[in-house]
Amino acid sequence: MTSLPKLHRFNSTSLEHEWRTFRIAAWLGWQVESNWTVPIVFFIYAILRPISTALILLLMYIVIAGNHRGEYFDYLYISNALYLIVMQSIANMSWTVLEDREHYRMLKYIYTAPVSLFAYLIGRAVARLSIGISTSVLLLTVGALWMGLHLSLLSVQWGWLVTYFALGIPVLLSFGIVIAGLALVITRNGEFMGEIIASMLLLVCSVYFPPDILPVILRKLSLAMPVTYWLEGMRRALAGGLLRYSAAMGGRPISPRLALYSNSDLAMILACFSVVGVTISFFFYRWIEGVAKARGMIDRITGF
Amino acid sequence: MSQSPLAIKTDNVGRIYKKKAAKRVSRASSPDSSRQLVALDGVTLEVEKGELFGLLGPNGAGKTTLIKVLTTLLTPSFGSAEVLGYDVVREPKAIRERINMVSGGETSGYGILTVKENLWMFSQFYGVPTKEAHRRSDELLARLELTGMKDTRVSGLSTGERQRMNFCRGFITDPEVLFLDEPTLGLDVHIARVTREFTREWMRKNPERTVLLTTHYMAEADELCDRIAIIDKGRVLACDTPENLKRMLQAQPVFQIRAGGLSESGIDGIRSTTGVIGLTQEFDLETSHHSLNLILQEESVISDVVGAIGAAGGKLVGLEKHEPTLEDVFVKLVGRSLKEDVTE
Ligand SMILES: Nc1ncnc2c1ncn2[C@@H]1O[C@H](COP(=O)(O)OP(=O)(O)OP(=O)(O)O)[C@@H](O)[C@H]1O
Ligand SMILES: [Mg+2]
Repeated sequence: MTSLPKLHRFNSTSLEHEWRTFRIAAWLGWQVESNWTVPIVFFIYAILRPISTALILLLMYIVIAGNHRGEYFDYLYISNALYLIVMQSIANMSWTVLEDREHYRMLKYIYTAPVSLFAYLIGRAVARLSIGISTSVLLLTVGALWMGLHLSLLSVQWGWLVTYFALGIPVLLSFGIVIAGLALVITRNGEFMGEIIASMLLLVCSVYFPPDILPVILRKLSLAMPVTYWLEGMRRALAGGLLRYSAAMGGRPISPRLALYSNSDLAMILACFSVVGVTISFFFYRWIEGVAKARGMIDRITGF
Repeated sequence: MSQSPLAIKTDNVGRIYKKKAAKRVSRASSPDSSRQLVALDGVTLEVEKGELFGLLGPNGAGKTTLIKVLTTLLTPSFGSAEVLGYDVVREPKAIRERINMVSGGETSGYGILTVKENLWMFSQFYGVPTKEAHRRSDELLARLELTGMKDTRVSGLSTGERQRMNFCRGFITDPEVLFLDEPTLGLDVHIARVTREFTREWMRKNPERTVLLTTHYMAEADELCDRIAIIDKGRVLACDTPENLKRMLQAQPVFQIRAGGLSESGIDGIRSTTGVIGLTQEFDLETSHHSLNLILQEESVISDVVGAIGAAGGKLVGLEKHEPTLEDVFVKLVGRSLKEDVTE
């Protein structure tokens, strides 16, 4: 326009800018998560709690099934360890929305900044997701070393593990985005929402119960849930194949229904769910953000 | 674009909040209209680039609501608004790249980050090159006398210090339009003056920059703003330069009266004297005198006022005529003093 310095300096492409937003948000997330003023709290929350859940699982198993640990135990144990990742990714972003809005009171400044809230929320999620993944790995290690879990580095199907993991993350993050959108418009007790939904999924995502033993309606729901397929694939990859009851009990797969799918079937299903999930969460979030803006919720202090 | 667009342009913009009826109030007794709150009631404003524009109004007038609409935080219920030629509803992204906002009187900030990190992070969100960001951050922190605290975590700052940091956050991205919502609220007199001086200087350095400011302090508006809109109950009552606003009262003399022995009902009596347009009062505890500020229809009304004081059992201590201030204009338009709000 004139010789004046140009005030607006958006030289970077939007992709570059979103990448930058993601990186900075991840850095911020890490600062927030690693800010354990008392390391013991971190220890209890991230390590002791999951390990005691695993111990309870082990004890219940021994009470019911005796001291013999068959592949059903592996099924339960691996699912339980992986569910930490599911939990973190689902509850995570809604927590960020509430924390930024009500505790730090910064959501309105983030929102009016030229950043994509997607890139920001996903960036913020990275730290907690890493904690979830590390804890899962830790649980699996503890299980293999001391709890009789049949898991060895040699039998893990690494190729499938990486494939399933990569296909699952977009699905999990889409879930997280949808719930973060809900947190934006919910006025009270939003902080529990993520965990409540994650606990509900516990029942229908073949974590402890294979779809085969659920009542019809829940079974249908279970088979419509991407997490069901993700857990099945991850379990197979970690255990080195389909998990079965012991030969004495007929040696049939723990979930005959899911056994119908080959590894590549599962991967295809997850790939479809990823595409659908990302698309739905994108449009859902756009819509609900509009609702939040119309209701004046972006900077509302609901006193959660 | 052949002609450079206005910095801010609103056309009959409005915002209605739906109030959730309190549980105790039965539905029958609260018809639909009473559960709606018109926070902005058709505001039409034009702010040129390079202007330092002030919004002046009592609590609940709708100032913050207007800023939320303009900063794309809140959807207007009716009417339209543009910032730098971009529509707030249809083109929020283009607006966000060019604006910034600071709200006073709140304790925002990531407590785990240091002052410097908070500023740096925001500069990155706006795509400011890191080196430039550090230069600006140092300069701003020095001006706001926060240099010694730049490595302090925000959780360790006082409310006022947080607000100073927040003020820096608004400027570090070098916005084309900056929205300042009561930026000096709660700051001490010295720092408040520093922020005013800095804002003025910043504007002078580049005539393309625009500031929209809300404040409760008359003197601040008078000293700082090129133009002022006085708003109340979501409507603009007047919009002009401070000088022109004061000129509105030229035909209407303003008197300051000091009197002893007046009761509240006595003052109400004076207020209702024919020819009294506006009356505000202050009570001096030491002398137990009332100090009344009166805007009159015409000079001759003063004798009736003096009579009313006598009739109310009051004793006249002093009387003088003075030049109208922005405060007087406000009282005339809004019907009450802004000071009464502030001290509430
Ligand atoms: N989220 C909301 N829901 C319902 N009503 C609201 C909401 N936010 C503001 N209001 C109402 O809208 C009106 C205008 O509020 P606003 O915050 O714009 O006033 P203001 O001029 O900024 O006042 P102040 O000087 O106190 O900051 C007020 O009556 C307020 O109660
Ligand atoms: Mg306000």
